[in-house]
Amino acid sequence: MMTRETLYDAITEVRDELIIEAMETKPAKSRVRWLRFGSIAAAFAVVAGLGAGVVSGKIPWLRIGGNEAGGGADGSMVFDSYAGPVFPLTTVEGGDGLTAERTVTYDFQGWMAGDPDRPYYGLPVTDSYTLTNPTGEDKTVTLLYPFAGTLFDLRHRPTLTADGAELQTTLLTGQYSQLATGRPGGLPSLNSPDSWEEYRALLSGGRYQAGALEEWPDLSHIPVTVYEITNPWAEPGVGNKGDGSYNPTLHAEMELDYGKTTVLSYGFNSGKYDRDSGRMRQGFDAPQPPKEGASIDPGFYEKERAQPHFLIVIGEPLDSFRLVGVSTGGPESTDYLEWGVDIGADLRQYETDLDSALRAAAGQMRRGADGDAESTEDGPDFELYFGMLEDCLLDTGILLDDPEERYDFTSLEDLYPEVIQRVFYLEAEVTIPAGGSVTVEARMMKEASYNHACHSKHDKDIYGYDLVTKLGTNLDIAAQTAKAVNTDGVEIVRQNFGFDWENGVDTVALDPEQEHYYLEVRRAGA
Amino acid sequence: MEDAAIIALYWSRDENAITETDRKYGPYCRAIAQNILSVREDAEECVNDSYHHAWNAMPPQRPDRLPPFLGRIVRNQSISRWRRERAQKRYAGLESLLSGLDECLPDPQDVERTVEGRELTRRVEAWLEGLSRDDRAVFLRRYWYGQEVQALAKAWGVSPNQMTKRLQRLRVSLKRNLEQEGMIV
Repeated sequence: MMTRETLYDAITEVRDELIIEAMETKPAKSRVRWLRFGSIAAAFAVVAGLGAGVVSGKIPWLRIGGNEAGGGADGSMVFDSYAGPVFPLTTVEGGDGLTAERTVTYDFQGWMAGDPDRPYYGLPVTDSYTLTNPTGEDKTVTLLYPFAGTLFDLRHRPTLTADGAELQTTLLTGQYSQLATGRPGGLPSLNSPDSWEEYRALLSGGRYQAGALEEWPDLSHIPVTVYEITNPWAEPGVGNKGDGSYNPTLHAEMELDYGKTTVLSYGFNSGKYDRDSGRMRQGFDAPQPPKEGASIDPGFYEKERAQPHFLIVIGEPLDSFRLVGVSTGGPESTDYLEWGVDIGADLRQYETDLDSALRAAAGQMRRGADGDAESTEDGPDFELYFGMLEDCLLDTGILLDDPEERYDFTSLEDLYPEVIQRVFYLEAEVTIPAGGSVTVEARMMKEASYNHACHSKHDKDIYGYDLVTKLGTNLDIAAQTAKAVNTDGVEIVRQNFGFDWENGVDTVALDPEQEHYYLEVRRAGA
Repeated sequence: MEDAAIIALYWSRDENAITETDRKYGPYCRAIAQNILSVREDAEECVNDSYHHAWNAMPPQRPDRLPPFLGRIVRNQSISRWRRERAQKRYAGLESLLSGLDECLPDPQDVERTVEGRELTRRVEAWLEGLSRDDRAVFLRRYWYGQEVQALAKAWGVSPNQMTKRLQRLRVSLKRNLEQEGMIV
């Protein structure tokens, strides 16, 4: 009888070429293009007045989740995965009249102990500020505490306190689609930041931070037609590919003018796009009921059937649309199955607006195809997720009138707003009394920058923790200090802090004019 | 050092063969062992055991490609170690891998004939060849190299949940393929 161990052994023996190819294959990551909008209002003007082209200039690319490079030219390591620096506190109003002193503490207690609740080699970091108001009047300021991360690891977000009491905070993030505003000479070539210099580029000029304080784009002005396909099915035994495998597939066949119509999809995994003939096909596997007594999760088939599939049509209506079943998954397949006998589904066509249509799809994306909520309790609220999804969508340029300027994009699942490394902000209000001070602390579990296992042993075991002193802050931070505690068993590999904890130097003064500090450590004896 | 030169050291019974293997492929072997066993010290021992196994295997073997050859030894040493200590459930990486492979197993009542392990490998290879290169890489990085779902998700720029679903689809696909081939070992 086949067991999981015999299957493990069989996989062990697959031939060399496949094993080598697997490691040489570069992941096909989604790419999202920067959009050269003057503003989101301008974007709507473009949409509302199809034909009023406003786009020109070169279009750099944004690579999601990039991790090929990191660090900088100042002696720090170039990490495969760069976690971003610890940023300084800033304010919405400008912090005029306030003075600040900053102490950043790295606590190595329990570091590398394998605590599953920590992010990757996470280190407790406390970023503490003494804010002083020398004036004769109380000052209420809106604080913004920036931190690097992705949407799906927000459970490690910092907490903010004022004189020991936790502050109520609002989570914000900047809008990539607005970054083109007013940049002479074209857009910055920003990838998902892989180094502290790329974070510097992201935050320079303040536009990204300003976007965090603005409303997300409103797409409810844009009419769309939705084709919603539900309850797909295929009879057992249909869709035999001839080699013993089965893949009955539902295809939406459309005719359209690619220059005037954009089709967004959710829940489709194959497609054929023929611009010359104006035809498009998009398909997905039709679920077949499991055989009697099969060990497959009996709920899997029902979950597959319950998963809705959307085609969202923007611009001119389709010239034609029909839903068909084919016996194999190939986009060229014309081996049609008998509709309603071999294969079928329910189809609903309706008119709505882009905001509503995206919300329906986004709700499914959050829940996932298997019906499980994705980090419901720890995850971000839906509006944040949805705003970031819209932001990513605008970056693709799909709403531009010039087809040449649009990214060739159809699948909403390719947007992945949750994995874009970006800067988030915690917003909180605090009052500093006249002539008094308040201590504001940000406590976080800071993820390490690290290298993948394929690196040499020496580099593989090194973990990096960066800090920036003035990037993005409008506070006058008169003095900055860094501390390291519980450092037994931790060895410094490279740094520019000036720590020498073997000789008792575990507190150092930082130069506020030095923008970037790095600390690279490993387990002693590693 | 070129792989052919390293293999020549084994054939000439020069103990530098192991030193050179470790220098060139130590990180590769340790990564696989660490992925599968999840216990650093045991992974290190497993790699050392694998070098001795390679020493005993060459000669008579003269592998065309050294990395897959070494990787296979590491995988075999890893599962041998797991078999010895399975009661302790000590190796989370392999427990997770095997749990995933459980979902690929066809139901005995759905198969009609018995095949040997080598034929099963050929069927898995044929199934892999029918996948896109990207899917093939995802499956093998997970089930041959033992990379964690989180790491794969990060490399592919998707959420762990999306990568989990992709792997689930691949497992169901393999299971259906094996069922339809009517095979049992």
